Amino acid sequence: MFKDLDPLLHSQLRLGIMSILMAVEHADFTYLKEKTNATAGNVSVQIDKLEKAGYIKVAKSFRDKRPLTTCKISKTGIAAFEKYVNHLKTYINK
Amino acid sequence: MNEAEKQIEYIEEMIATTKGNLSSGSIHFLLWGWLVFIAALSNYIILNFTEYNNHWIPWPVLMGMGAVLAIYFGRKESKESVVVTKIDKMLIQLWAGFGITLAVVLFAMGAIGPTKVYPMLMALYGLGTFVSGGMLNFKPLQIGAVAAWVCAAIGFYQVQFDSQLILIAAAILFSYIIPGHLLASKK
Repeated sequence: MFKDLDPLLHSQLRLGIMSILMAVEHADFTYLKEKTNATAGNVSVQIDKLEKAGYIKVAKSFRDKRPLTTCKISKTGIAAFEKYVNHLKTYINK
Repeated sequence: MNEAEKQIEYIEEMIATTKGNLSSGSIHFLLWGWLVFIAALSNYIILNFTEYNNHWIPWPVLMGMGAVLAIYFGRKESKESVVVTKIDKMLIQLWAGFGITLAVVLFAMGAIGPTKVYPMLMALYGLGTFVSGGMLNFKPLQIGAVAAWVCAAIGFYQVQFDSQLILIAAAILFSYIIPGHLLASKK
């Protein structure tokens, strides 16, 4: 079961980050960390993986001298997410 | 529940955490609401109870002040916000379009006169707050919009300028000030 599913999205935290980014225009690192209830290190690693896959776009800047990481889902990411959800639905219907 | 259903439930749960963000806009409703309210009433007082000819003076002074404060609050909000939702983006588009329409209508004032422009402004308040209320799922804004539209409809027939000032004060009270305070208290 689940062998066709995108392994990148089939991890709970990465799926959580992608779900949030699907629903918003863009969100910063702290927001993603709070909403997913994960540790900073873990969120950081998963964001990195999603960015390398081209699923999200990450912009790094500074706000009040503190680093600010803003994430936004990409077109590739939207397509991958939709495909993943459609696959999941077929498993539910079975 | 199988694993696929659990994943779907998790996705829904994560999406739900992004909802209920009512931070959008209450400060702007209150800022513009109170400034327009004070401008309309002070214009009415100057016109009816003083000999001063430039009775319209509260408008450029208070609206200019509003523009400066709106830019200040807008920058502060964007600095502090950790997320921009789709609704936030749509609201920005709506109110930017509202601002441009307002400017065009004000530009037409010289050609068609203030007694026709004021009811148009009230109708525009209704449009902006009705759509915002729908997007934020916040009924008081939509009820206020209906009140603004009623004021606009009366205004088109009540062509005495000083009565229109009272109508515009009432329209802004119902469509911006009261819902704005209710929205702020919901945070």
